[in-house]
Amino acid sequence: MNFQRETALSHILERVEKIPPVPAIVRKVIDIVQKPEVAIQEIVKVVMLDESLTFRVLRAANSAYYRRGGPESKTVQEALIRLGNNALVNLVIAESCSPLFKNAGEGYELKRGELWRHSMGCALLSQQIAAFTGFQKAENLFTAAIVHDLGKTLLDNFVHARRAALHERMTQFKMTYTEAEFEVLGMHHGEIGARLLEKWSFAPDITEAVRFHHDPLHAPSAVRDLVFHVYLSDMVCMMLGVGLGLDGLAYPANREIWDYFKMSESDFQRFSLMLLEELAKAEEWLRT
Amino acid sequence: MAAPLVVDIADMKFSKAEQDVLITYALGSCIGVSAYDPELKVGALLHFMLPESALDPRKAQERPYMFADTGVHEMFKHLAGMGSKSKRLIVKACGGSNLMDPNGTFNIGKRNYLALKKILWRFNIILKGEDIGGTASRNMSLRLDSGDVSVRYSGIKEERAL
Repeated sequence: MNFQRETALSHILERVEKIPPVPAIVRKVIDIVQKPEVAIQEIVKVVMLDESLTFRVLRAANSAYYRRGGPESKTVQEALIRLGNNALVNLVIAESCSPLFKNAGEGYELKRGELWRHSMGCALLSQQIAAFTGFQKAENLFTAAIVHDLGKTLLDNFVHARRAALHERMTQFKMTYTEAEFEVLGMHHGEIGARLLEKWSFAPDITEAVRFHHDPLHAPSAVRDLVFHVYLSDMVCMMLGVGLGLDGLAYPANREIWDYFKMSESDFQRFSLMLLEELAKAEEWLRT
Repeated sequence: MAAPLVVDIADMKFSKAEQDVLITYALGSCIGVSAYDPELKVGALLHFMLPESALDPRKAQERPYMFADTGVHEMFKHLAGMGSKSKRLIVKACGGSNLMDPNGTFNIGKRNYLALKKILWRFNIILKGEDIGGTASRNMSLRLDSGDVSVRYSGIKEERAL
């Protein structure tokens, strides 16, 4: 390993070490969600005890994405009744994680808010793809998709300073972006994200999905389906330019995943239509 | 100069105001298509995302700019409505990137490009400039005063004339 890369890596790992604990509210929400039987009233209670999260949850519940012409929800309990468990849980996950992402992405040449739009696009689309594939164990999918690029928030500054080197690796040496990050920084954003989530004691399924989201065929078999869904959602977002930055589309495509889900090319193209539709509906929510 | 008019994904904008600049961002597998009539100084910029409207004819009717075939068709209709003649149009295209894919599995970018060529062929138009393929994210702009089209890659500061 060369000297520059070693220095970068030690700084990055130091950053992981020094990162503050996960915001308490995220911790609480994720803990409850990860129990086998999601105790929905516990979630409602946690949200209600946090003024700012209550505000955000209600704002999202009353945005066009969820409201769809229904009556306004004035309390979290009302939002629950209108949206149902699943939608409310996903909404709470999204709103509790959003502060981690909103100001990040500049190093990757993403305008402010775009990394968050990418994360949300990926999470919303993942639910549609799961409906298409009939994925049963999807309880961690929304969270895994939301946090799959968490590593980018931490690498932002390091990437910013080494843009030219990363770019050169991709254009001249035809490396994938993940390989370029590994070459230049000593670790790629999937690995960094996974380490951060491990430190925050996220469920192993989620950390592994984040670690392998650009290398899905090597994911442990227990999380394979989860990783495949995150991967597909991520790729559709990138191809449509949602969160597309310095890395571009310099990621490997995996035919095996198509075959695994018995997908046709038209199916895959339809995912693009779904993403656009989800984002259009969520636009007002994402802007806030 | 006025603020550029931003063309979103699955959209098209046209203008006949000389001070205008049309721009579209983050072209991945999507393709940006500019069309400019130097005699009238009118132009349009399209950002389409998928090759064929046959995938979903109902959607194509609601949002023709999603697809290469309906998008180009509709764009030319608007330009003709402003008095532009298709034989004068200078058409250029950017984007159509692909994932790194030796098997050609996810090659929507390439399919988009082929669909674009096909529809342009029907209008008897050839591309006067193009920057297609690879893996990069591109921005593309069209100046109405000069008809100049430029492309900028993510990770590179300089624009390049097309």
